[in-house]
Amino acid sequence: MRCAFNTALMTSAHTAFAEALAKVFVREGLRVLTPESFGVCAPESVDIYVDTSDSTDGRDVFTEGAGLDESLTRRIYEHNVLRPMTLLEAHLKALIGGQGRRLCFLSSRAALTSSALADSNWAYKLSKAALHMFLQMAANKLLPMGFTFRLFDPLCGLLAPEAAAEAAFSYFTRRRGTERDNPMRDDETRLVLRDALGGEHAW
Amino acid sequence: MNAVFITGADRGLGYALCASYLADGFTVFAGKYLCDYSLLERLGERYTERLHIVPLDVGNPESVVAAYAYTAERVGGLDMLISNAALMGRVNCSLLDPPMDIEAAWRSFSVNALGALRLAAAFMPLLSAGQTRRLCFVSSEVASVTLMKHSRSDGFPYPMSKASLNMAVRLLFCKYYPLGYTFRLFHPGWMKRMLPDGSLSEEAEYDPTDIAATARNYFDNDLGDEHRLIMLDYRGREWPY
Ligand SMILES: NC(=O)c1ccc[n+]([C@@H]2O[C@H](COP(=O)([O-])OP(=O)(O)OC[C@H]3O[C@@H](n4cnc5c(N)ncnc54)[C@H](OP(=O)(O)O)[C@@H]3O)[C@@H](O)[C@H]2O)c1
Repeated sequence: MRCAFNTALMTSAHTAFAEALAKVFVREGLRVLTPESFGVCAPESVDIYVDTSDSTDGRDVFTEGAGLDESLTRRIYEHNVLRPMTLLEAHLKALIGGQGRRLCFLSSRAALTSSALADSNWAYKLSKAALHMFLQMAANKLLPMGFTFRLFDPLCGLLAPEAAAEAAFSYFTRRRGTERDNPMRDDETRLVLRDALGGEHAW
Repeated sequence: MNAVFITGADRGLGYALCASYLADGFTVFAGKYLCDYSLLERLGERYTERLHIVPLDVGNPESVVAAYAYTAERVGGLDMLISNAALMGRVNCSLLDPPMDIEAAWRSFSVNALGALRLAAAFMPLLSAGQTRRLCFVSSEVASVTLMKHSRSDGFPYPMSKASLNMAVRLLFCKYYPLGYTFRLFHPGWMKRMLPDGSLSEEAEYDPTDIAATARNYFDNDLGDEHRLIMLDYRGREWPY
């Protein structure tokens, strides 16, 4: 089945997962735009938007006394929260002008407050908690305008980027939960996190 | 003697908690940020020995370290740490009415979430030397992603920061509960604003002094299920976080 989106905007295609996802988009006939491809002239119309920001850092550890590394925490927050906010604002007009109005973001099941563990990546987890809240509040504004949201955990380290990209493509481009004989049933208003193996995780 | 440290103590809930603990004989270290309010100084006239006003900006790591040093010079251990300080207030941060004040999200995060974490990290040695080893955090219903489904608000930064705060408390809980520390996460309800003369604004529902009493009920008493981190509100109701 031909997917319903023609143009995908990816905020970056530099990670192995993002690169693999860009390849799947192209294979499936989508035009893929990245900041490198459109330079300073932002595109006028975009159907599906994928923010690939998902930055972790091995030095992101909490120590008693010192707490978190301040400048590293700022960098992680900038990358995972402030940048996605800025970019979404910048591209919103093109998304309104497009056909798909689908917004996709990356997160991790390790960064869900109800089940997070203290092992590592505290600044990352704090940043993702903020991102989740931003997306829920953004969804409250944008769902009535026909936007839909996808939040995805590529399970980096567990799954090959290519396999994660196939799963992401399927999750990003399908419609969620409408039944042909029951059009009242629509799952699109629920913001959830799904992982590359199809698992869905509660906040 | 029991000793507590309370942040954001010069007005509102923080001030009401100070007054309540002082009245019950506690030694109170009261974090004070700006100098607009002098309610604490007035309280200090009554409790010269037991109230210590500590300059503190939780958004600034050096200030947290200095507040710790100040406290450690005066007391051998703390029983409770109450992280109550918060940056609130409206900011222009609407996706549909650009430009968003993106830095406001960082400022809220740095004070409301990181601030609490900075404080906990710095004060652990004093807490470990105390009797109760309890860390209390004042959060909010807006920390819950699930419940924000019903919000039409444009003010992203504050709820984002409280969501991060809950994550910070969750991580602290996972790390320190097995070491004998207990945790409280509290949603105080919609409180009236305390004005510089100690009177309350008309707007909002609850008097911070009444909320301080219910908060203390939760903060001071042991629970049967300390192994579970929960967020309780001023009526003892549990909230998802
Ligand atoms: N009011 C409500 O309806 C409501 C609802 C839900 C949750 N809460 C939470 O309940 C807590 C208390 O609320 P409230 O209404 O009593 O607040 P408030 O009257 O606005 O007082 C906030 C306190 O935090 C201090 N503060 C602000 N920035 C600080 C910083 N960088 N470092 C240290 N202290 C700082 C303020 O100091 P200055 O006086 O010097 O500015 C003040 O003492 C907060 O955590 C708030 O998020 C309140």
